[in-house]
Amino acid sequence: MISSGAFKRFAGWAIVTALLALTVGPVLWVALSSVKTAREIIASPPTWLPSTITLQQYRELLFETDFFLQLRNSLTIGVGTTVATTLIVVLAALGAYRGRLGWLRSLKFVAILAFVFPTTLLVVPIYEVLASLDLINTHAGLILVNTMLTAPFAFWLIEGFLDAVPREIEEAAIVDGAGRWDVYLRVILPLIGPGLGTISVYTFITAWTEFTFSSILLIDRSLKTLPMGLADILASYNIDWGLLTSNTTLAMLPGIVFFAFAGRLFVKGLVTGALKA
Amino acid sequence: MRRLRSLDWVSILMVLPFVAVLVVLVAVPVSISVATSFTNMRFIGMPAEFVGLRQYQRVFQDELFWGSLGRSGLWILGNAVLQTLTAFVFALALSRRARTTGSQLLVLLPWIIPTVAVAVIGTWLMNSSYGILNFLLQRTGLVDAPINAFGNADIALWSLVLLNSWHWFPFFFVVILGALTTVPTELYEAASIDGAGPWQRFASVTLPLISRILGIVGLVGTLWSFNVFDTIFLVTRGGPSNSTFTAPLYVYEVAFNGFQMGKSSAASVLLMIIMLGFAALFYNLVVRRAYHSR
Repeated sequence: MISSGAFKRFAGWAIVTALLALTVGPVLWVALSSVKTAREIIASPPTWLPSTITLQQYRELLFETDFFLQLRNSLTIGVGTTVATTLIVVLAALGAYRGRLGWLRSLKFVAILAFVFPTTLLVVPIYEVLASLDLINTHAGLILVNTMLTAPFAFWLIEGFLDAVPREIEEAAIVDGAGRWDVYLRVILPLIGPGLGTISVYTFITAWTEFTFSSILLIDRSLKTLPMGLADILASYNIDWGLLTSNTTLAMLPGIVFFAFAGRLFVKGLVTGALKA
Repeated sequence: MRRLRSLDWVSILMVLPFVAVLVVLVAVPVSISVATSFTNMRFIGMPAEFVGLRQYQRVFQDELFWGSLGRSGLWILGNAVLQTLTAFVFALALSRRARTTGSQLLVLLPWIIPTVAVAVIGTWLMNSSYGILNFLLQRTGLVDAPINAFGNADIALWSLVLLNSWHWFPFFFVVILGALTTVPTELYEAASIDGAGPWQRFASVTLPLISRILGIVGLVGTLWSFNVFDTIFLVTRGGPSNSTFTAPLYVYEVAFNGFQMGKSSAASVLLMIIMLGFAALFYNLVVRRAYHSR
């Protein structure tokens, strides 16, 4: 007889394994496929582990395509959006949640409305607006759009962190003679550090994975992002699976590395922020 | 000093950049859509005449519009059920275990990769000739012939639902798991002492306490999945035979390939009204009620 405790532990492990197979499995399979030879990758039945490892596709990608250029473009847009959104949201959140005007708090409902808004229906008029601002085919234009896509949710998330900072701390600092900006910069900002981390990670990942607006707003080859380069291979009539899987692996990698370091903050903060509201 | 208090210009200046972004990229585009929907504009920026409600009339008479709206309905329903349920079931099963942040990071993997990579993963794993999923299904005897997941009009939409839910469920999994950790363990113990079985504990303790967050996840997930354009566009472009042609694709196609800006705008205005109505209804029926019931 297996004791019920042992069974429960086994069931728990089985579920964890199933969940990880579901989420990590497909990504791992693409990575495994990417180092197989052109013949092996389409072999039937498929081989689990590559019998011969080839890095030919990677050599081609790194040295004969725009990979590094696209990587740099993606990073520019990811970092640009993260800085813009975090700055704008922190300013607005301090003003709305910590200012002296109670009614500014209702900005939260505007934010909720904006983040559930079906923005893909606005692709055309957004294109028109950016055209009139001369921002088509520029990274600045895409960063602006990404800021619009991420700022509302970030504004909503940060509220929980700000509300957790007691007013008394603020008042004590004012009694000690600190000015308004001293209080914001030296008292509140350090205390909402995890919140800033959460919205930064959320923003970076959203900008990093975005495709719809990039594909419409960026035209020059020199401005294209990693997802756009990947989409070009995917759209070709005769798909080269070796090239496509290795390009996909490379396009996923920087985000995964980033998330491995910064993701911890995000997981904790998402829960704090989302549950508070 | 009192006057300073009554109108705090610093606060207003602080929220201004945020509000400006929303005005320039949401409010102004919405107004442009509304204005364009009353004209016969064909290309972006071309001069056009006022035609009243004629574009709305044309949209109403377009079978493709109603078809795409129906498919969006199925798309939303499929995704809402699959992604919320998957997230909820795994969160429940693991609420006492995979609380470590490390395992949650691995679970979030599908959410942090570019949507184009999601499209590649879908087309590669579900490929009818070389796909590993078809191989496994055939090897285990579940199917006799390979499934053409995205090439068969009967199942293409559901294959995309599967792929999109795979991309999104981890995000909701983390939120729901977090909500479950807020349920005090004393409540479970008290219920056990009162003789409640696992199912009763779930129905009378867990569910009421997290119903509000479930409602919010359901609402946000629904509205976000309506908005999905790239995954569908990249994998099937709306085909085969329009079986995955959802409402956002309709708006895009009519504008960029049909060169009928006016009609596309009328369709997007109608869809915005429908979605906002849906959001208001859902919020009042589900989220609010769940909030009051606790």
